[in-house]
Amino acid sequence: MSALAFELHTTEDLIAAVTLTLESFFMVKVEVGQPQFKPLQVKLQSLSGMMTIDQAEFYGFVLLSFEDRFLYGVLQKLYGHAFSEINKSVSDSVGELTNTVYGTFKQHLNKRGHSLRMSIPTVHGPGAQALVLPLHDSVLIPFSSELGSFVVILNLNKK
Amino acid sequence: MKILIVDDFEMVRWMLKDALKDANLSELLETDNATSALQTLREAAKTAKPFDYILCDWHMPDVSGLELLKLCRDDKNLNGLKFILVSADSDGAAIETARQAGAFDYLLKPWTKASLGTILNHMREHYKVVA
Repeated sequence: MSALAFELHTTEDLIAAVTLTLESFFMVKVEVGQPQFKPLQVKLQSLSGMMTIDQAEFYGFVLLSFEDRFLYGVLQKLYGHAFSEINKSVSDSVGELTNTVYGTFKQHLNKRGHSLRMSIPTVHGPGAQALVLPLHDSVLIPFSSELGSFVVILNLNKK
Repeated sequence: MKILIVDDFEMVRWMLKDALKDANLSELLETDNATSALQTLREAAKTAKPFDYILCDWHMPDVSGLELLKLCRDDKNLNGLKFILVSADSDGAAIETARQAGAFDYLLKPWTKASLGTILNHMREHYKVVA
């Protein structure tokens, strides 16, 4: 098992990054569920954003997978009109949410002496897909809100 | 005060526009990439009403915000443009890189009303001085 991946503060840092992004940037109050360590397979939701980590210290990814109704709700709050299908605005929102969460998470880790760098997120979906994870070094964190739910998966391995 | 907003994500452009309009800044244009932004800036520079500020995302596909900043600094017609880089990267090294490249300011995502307000005050103060 990696030295970092399952340290409690890493999971806490990720939760803090998600909460800060959703609450301060998008005015969405979220509740955190019980983190699941070492999930073997995850059923992804409608749209997912992934930030790949491949750097000197670590490799892995941060993945955020959203119910479509959660995304529609966030965008309705933002733009003031209803969304009912996945279009470019909805896909874009996944990229930006992923980007901002990762940036904040990276900030927390780097304050602890690590050196993660920014990269550009990729958006996957629409459609449910199964993600088969490596045997170790992953944590899945479920989040819920009045708008819907999403999960965040961190896979982080020390080189 | 004429401002160009550049971000590959529509949502961020919308949020910035919304915040700037709330701050009574309404002379806004937007684009989703650096190449188009440079063209827009250069065309406006030939007119009587060039852009005063650009709020530009750092991490974009193809040409990054930092590269666009350097291109602007190398263009004598864009010397007066004040460049604000927008990024989720809070590393001191990144901020210093932006400063050394000639950025006027740095807006960190996720911004708060207070942090964006600080940037807007900085913009307004400088605009008053130079206007």
